Amino acid sequence: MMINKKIIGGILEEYLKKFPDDIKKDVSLEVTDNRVKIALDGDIHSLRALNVLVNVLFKHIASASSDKFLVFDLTLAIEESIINIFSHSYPEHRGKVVVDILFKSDGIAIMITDYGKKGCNFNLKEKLASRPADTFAESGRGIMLIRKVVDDISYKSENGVNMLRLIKKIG
Amino acid sequence: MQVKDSFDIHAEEKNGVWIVKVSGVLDAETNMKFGVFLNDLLDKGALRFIFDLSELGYINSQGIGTLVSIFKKVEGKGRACFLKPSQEVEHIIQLTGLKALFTIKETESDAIAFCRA
Repeated sequence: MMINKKIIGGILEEYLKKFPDDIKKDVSLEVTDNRVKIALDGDIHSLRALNVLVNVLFKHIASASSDKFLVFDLTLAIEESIINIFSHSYPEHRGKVVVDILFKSDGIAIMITDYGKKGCNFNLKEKLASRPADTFAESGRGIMLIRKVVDDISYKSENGVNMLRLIKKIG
Repeated sequence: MQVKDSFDIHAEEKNGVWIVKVSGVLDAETNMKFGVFLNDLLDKGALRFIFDLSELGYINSQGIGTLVSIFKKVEGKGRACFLKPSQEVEHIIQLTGLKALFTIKETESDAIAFCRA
């Protein structure tokens, strides 16, 4: 799966321009061959900008897949990951998150990096192995949803950097 | 998904049932407004809800959590159901395994009859 960096870069820049200045300043964009990196230094309110950008990005590659929920699932996986980061990694619910999306021949690799509290946001071993104790609980579904919509998920934390890797196979 | 706050919610009462139409995007930001809106209705004594989600294009776990909260609050005292949820909403209901909690109706008259039962 390839992306045209000039076209994709142009489209994303145009969308970013539409946001108010106080949101735009929290978001930076870098598009290279087969890779899109979006850095967000903000909070839940600036997360909308990131949601829109990933949504637009994935809509442009969706034709390569027969999965009609591909765009929805990938946008959801990224948003749920970052909500988790803002909720648990950053005590003040704001901070820096980098979403690095790599387009490969057989799918998409998404690396979500934060610099908050180590391991606090994704205690994967424990959380992935379990469902919410109460299926009808009012919260706690985020990680379960991420697991369901991607094909592989891994997490590591070293030297003050936490990295969540999501893999979605295409085709 | 749009740049602007692409979220709209309005409610009207019919035969003692509140029909709440939610459209656009229910994400981390708009879910806060959603919760406030619904809690205002609950504070006014609303106990029977129809959620028209036919034009809701995106919903995350927080949006689902808000809906679960409402369904649980009215349990035993009132009723709630979904009206013609969009494919995306049906998709996330399936992912979360909440089909047993959320009753789905395809017509407004069926939904009202269910909520008034």
